[in-house]
Amino acid sequence: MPINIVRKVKSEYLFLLTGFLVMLSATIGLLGWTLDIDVFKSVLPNYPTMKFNTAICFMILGFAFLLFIKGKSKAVKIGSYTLLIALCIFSALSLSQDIFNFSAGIDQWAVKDLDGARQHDAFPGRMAPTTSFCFFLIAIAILGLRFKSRSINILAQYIMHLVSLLSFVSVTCFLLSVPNTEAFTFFTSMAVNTSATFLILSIVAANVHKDLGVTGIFTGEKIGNIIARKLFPRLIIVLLIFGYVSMLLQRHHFISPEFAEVISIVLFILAGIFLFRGVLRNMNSLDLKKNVAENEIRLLNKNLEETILERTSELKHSNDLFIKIFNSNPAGIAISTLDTGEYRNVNPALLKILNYKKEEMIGHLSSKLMIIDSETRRRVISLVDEDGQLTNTHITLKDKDGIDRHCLLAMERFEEKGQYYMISFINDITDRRIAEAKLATTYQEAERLADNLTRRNKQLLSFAHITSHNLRSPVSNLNMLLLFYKESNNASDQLQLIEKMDTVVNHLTTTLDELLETISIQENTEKERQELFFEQVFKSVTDILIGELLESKAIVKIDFLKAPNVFYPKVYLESILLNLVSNAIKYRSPHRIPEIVLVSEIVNGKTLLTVTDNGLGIDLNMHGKNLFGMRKTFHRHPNAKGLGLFIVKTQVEAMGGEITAKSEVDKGTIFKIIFNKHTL
Amino acid sequence: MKKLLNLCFIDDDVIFQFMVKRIVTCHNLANKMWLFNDGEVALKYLLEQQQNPLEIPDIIFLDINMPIMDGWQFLAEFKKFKASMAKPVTIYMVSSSNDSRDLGQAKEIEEISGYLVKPLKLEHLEQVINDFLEPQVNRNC
Repeated sequence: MPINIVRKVKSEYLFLLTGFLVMLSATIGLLGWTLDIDVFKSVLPNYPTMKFNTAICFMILGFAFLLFIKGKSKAVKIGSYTLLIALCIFSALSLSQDIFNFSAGIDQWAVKDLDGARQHDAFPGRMAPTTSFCFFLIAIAILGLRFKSRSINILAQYIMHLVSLLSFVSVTCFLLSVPNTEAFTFFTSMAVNTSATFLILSIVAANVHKDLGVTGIFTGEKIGNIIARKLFPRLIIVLLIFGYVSMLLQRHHFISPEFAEVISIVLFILAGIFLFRGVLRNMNSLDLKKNVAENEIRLLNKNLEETILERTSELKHSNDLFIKIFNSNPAGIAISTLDTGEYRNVNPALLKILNYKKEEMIGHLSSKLMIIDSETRRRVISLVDEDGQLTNTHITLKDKDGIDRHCLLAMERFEEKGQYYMISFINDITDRRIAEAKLATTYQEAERLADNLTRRNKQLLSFAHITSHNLRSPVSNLNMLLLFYKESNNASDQLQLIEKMDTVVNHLTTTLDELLETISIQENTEKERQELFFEQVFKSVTDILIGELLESKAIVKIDFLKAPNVFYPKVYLESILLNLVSNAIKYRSPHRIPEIVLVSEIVNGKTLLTVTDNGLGIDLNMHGKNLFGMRKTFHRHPNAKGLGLFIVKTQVEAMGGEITAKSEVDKGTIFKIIFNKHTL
Repeated sequence: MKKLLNLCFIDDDVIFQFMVKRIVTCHNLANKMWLFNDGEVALKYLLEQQQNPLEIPDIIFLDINMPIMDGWQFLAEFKKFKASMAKPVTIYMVSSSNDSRDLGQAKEIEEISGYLVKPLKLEHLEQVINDFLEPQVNRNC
């Protein structure tokens, strides 16, 4: 504790100061003897002097005390003990001279005590017996202070008090001017500076063990100690003053010794009253302070209690709120340990999602219940470890029956009493997932329908085009011919007109037939399909085209290995192959031997047929939009009717497929047919 | 005495050609008359005769729906060299189509002076020829 350290430092300074003071006192004494200065020897003239030996002893005692206090190393301690023991022996020797009445020749070993001789001392130069006794006692007491045994410490402390008492009597005698020639010479023979030095040193040294002996009364921090500290010095001063006054009065015979005693007692009582009054005030003020402090503490306690009550009710309120949120939340909430995943609490919503009873979950591990697989849990925990929380993560949990529940998970990590927990918020989105899947299917269906509609729309537009051009044209011709016929009055001319009309009607019939055929193809999207092998169908087509193939010397290469078959209406596939191959021959280049390549393959799960030729090619920039149109021809070929590609396109699209072309003039043409683009 | 014009018909329909020839001949509507089966043949002729005003038709009656090169394609090609022609050529679209899309497309093209829906009758031809000879009258209408 800092205060104790301060006090310790303070008392150490006091000890050191006292040690130096003792040595100073000794030095003054020694100077007095060596330089023969009376004041230095006895303070007052004609009073007993501090003997040279005494001064030497004080020097040793002071030094020993300093070593004793500062001594930390063993050598210094031993030095201090040695000096003290030497002092013991020397003082005992000096004292024994008085007791056994002999001279050891130590009294004037260094200097002659002329003053002592002058004052008719029995043994000049010898320390007073009180002095030597005090040296003996104080040396022993200091030695005793450092013993480990507490009882010896106590004994040493009381010996120290005895030195204080002896020196105090001596000082008091001096203060009260008790003549040294009268009784108690045992005490009075001690020089005043000697006794003062003893008094100071013994009192200070008693502070080494503050708690022991009389010192304990004055040094504590309790109220009794404080009173003792305040009262005792005043008591001493009062006693000294009254003692002195009554002694003076008595000595000069103003009053009789008995009366002096009476006065002394009365005055002491009066002074006592004042002193007690002072003490009383002191105590009262202390009591008051104590009461105030107590009241303050009580008030503080009360405030604290109120605060605690308030906090407790707040806590209770927030706890209630938490329980409400926890129990009635539509989202599933679980509190589990971070390390093991043991459920500590789960809310009704979670129980409903996972189909468990509360007691089946609480206290059980998530891994044991197989709610979450260990790999997912590891992944989730590592994510939470990174930033303490997790938001909206897709996770699949298993309910009690092992059925997958698709969930959105949010997590937060928290600590309580050194244990990490997770609070998990779980939203069951299984139904949403199903709905989403349904929506996706519906969307696909809608897209397919939209595709069909678009195609239908295109067909309608193309039909409108066909009717306005291909049907209206022969009808308008018929109208005109009929008009001419009516206006004509020439039989041969009329016959000619009838022949023309016949041509137009034939043409119109063909066109109508073709149109009806087209419409029936377009309408019949559910035409019966069958498993067809490209190679077989191709064979039947080449049988039909054998004449053209031979005549043109065309080279036909096929590769149907990658996609040998297709699920398709036989007539359509025959028509497609027939038209494409016959076109390739019909529009061949006169400069090259025709080469036709047919390859089937699967691309993105769809069956694709590619027909490549090295023929005339078509300028698609110019004719691209008419390529698959009805009655669109691009070459001056006698058999070009502009119908083949139109029929092929109609058939392919009616079956949910797509046909595209790439071409370069005088290089060749590539047709690509995806048979089942819009179907599975 | 009316001035006789040089007329040109581009149409693949042989019956139409027969009827046009009959009307023009019977009513003596043209000085010279050309009949072409498709746009490509007509284009080829015009390119050959572009510096020869006497052999260039005053009015071309152009069908839309033809093989090889249809009416639209012919117009696109004709546009490229019409500035270098020795004399201006008036073009009328003639089609059996009364489809609004075809009419709309014809209006977009500045080379086309009008759109005639088949059957093409005598009075239609006379009207076109009169408009050509007396443009003011047409404008005042």
